Amino acid sequence: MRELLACLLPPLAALAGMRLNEWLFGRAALEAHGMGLRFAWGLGTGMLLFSQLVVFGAVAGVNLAAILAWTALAWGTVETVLRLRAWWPARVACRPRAAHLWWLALLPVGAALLLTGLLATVEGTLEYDALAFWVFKAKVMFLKQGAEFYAVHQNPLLTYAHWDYPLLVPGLYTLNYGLHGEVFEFTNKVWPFWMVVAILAAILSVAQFSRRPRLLPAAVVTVVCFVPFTTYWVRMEGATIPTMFHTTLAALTAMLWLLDRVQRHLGGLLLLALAGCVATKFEGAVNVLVWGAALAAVLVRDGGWRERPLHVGLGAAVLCLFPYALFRLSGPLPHPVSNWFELGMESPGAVLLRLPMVVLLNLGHRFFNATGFKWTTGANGELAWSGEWDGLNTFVDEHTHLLAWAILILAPFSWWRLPSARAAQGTLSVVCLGTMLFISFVIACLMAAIDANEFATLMVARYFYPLMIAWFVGLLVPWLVMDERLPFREDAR
Amino acid sequence: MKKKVPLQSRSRPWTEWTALVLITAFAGWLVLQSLDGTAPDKNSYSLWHLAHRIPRLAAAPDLIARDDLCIPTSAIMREVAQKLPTSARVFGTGLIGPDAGIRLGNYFIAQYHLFPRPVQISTDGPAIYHDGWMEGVDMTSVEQLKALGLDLLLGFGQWDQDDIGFLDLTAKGRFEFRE
Repeated sequence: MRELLACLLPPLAALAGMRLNEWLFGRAALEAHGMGLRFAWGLGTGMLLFSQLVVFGAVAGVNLAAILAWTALAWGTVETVLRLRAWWPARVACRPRAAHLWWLALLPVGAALLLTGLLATVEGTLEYDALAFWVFKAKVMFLKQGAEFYAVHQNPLLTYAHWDYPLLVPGLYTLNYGLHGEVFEFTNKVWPFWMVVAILAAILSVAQFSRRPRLLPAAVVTVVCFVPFTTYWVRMEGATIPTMFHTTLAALTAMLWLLDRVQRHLGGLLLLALAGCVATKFEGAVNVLVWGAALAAVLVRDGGWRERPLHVGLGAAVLCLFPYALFRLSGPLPHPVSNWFELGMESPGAVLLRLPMVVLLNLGHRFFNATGFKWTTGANGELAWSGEWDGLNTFVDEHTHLLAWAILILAPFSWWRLPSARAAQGTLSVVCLGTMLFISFVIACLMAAIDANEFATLMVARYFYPLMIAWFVGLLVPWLVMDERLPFREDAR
Repeated sequence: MKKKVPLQSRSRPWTEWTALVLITAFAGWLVLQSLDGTAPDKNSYSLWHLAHRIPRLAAAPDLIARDDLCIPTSAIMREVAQKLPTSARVFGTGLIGPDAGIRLGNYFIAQYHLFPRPVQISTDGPAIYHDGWMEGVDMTSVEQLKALGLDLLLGFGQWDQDDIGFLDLTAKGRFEFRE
């Protein structure tokens, strides 16, 4: 029973989030979008709100996890009933067409989600990092609040847990514990699982798949679902899937907004998705910084910064991040790597010398496997290629399997074929590349000497996976939205 | 000025078909890869392995047995946490200094499961975490720990890096592992 309740918590929190979004940006504006996209936005807002209220409780000295979890369940249940009454008759009235056979193309995704979903309710924590950082902080927030919570994050022994990091992920796990009434880690994976479901639903929704089923959206969600890291990081927990969710949701929303600036509410929803990035992980915050610079240029140029939905979105985002700001004001002891900038500035020249090598290694490992793209660091820090030809496998990186190649082909192809979407796709590409460069700069600051082997590990690859999914999906948004020339459109009508 | 940009593709249907075929081929290849049953079991993304793992986990009689199928050290520490009183004081030895960094993974697991019991690893107050290693003073003798009022000693890496040894220092720290 508790597995079932835990599995229902994320979608019901998403339904509560959907209602909040409607209050913020207007029901009519949101109903212009498909259910999948609204669900993903709702999940983002719901997670942000409930997790940050848990953090607020921990700082203020109250355990709010149980009351918040049951509130989300009750609120979501009411929303389900209300929405089903409106949604169901329209579904029943829908007549089967030949185009509906394209739903069969989603069978592999359905099978993968079924297995991952079942596993999410029985499997324990698999990764040391997840247990030491994210799950540990959730346990602490559930058991200790106020002064006792303060004592834990002030303990120099426990700084390994990255106490200065954002607390969205531990907040979500703590909600689960509130539901169970005890620390029970075996249902933590329901959150990343539902984040993947929501992103896939959002992609299908952007393409209006339920109204016009066709192959391209089905192929895109299959790629996102079957990239090895997706299943891997759902199972490993931690913040990789949450970062992927928020980064991709932000990219998707930004693309829709940049393609159609008339839909002003998208600006507000984008800010909420970016707040989710900040609340999740350092890489998310970097992504927000780069998005902020790119969007500021757009908004100043066309005067869009005066739009009301932007102010509403910004206000809601700041309010949601207030508990984390309070927590940071209480001064959690930082992890040793948190001073990356100070470390880098001790010898900025050396950082600049290392940066091109770090960028080369980071980008290269996204395109080639570890056997083919193998480098050895010499005595003076120079890199020497020591790889071997591994047949065609050389071109398949172990973690994201050809995704970088797909982006490399897709970006210029879209630029050539979709002149009207160039500004949006160009902005997205600059943001994704800019974020990757920023992360490479941080790594260059932290590494006193280049260790080429480090870059082949999945620990480094996971920094780039969320960005690659966001980039891939974002580039495809114009293709998914534009149906005039897509194959099978005539079949669909 | 805000405007809706009309999305138009240059009118050569073969290019759209090319994009569609490439992405579909990529998707199909990924699905085939995920059906590979030869990938290593525990951390695999292969659907074949996931399908076999679910019944094994569901059939586990309790959480300790389930943990044993995930992180075995977690199973051991979960059992210790279940049997040890919450007021017990624990000390972990073998964790101080850069050379002991490799054993910190097991300490993190122990600390996680034993929380809210403090797991001290330094005799001169809380150890200080550096990136990948701990600074502090390790124990010198069992008597020293007894004098400090500790109940259980965890020895990290006594026989090999992954090993954890247990020694009860008081009656409160005494327990029996199940078979």
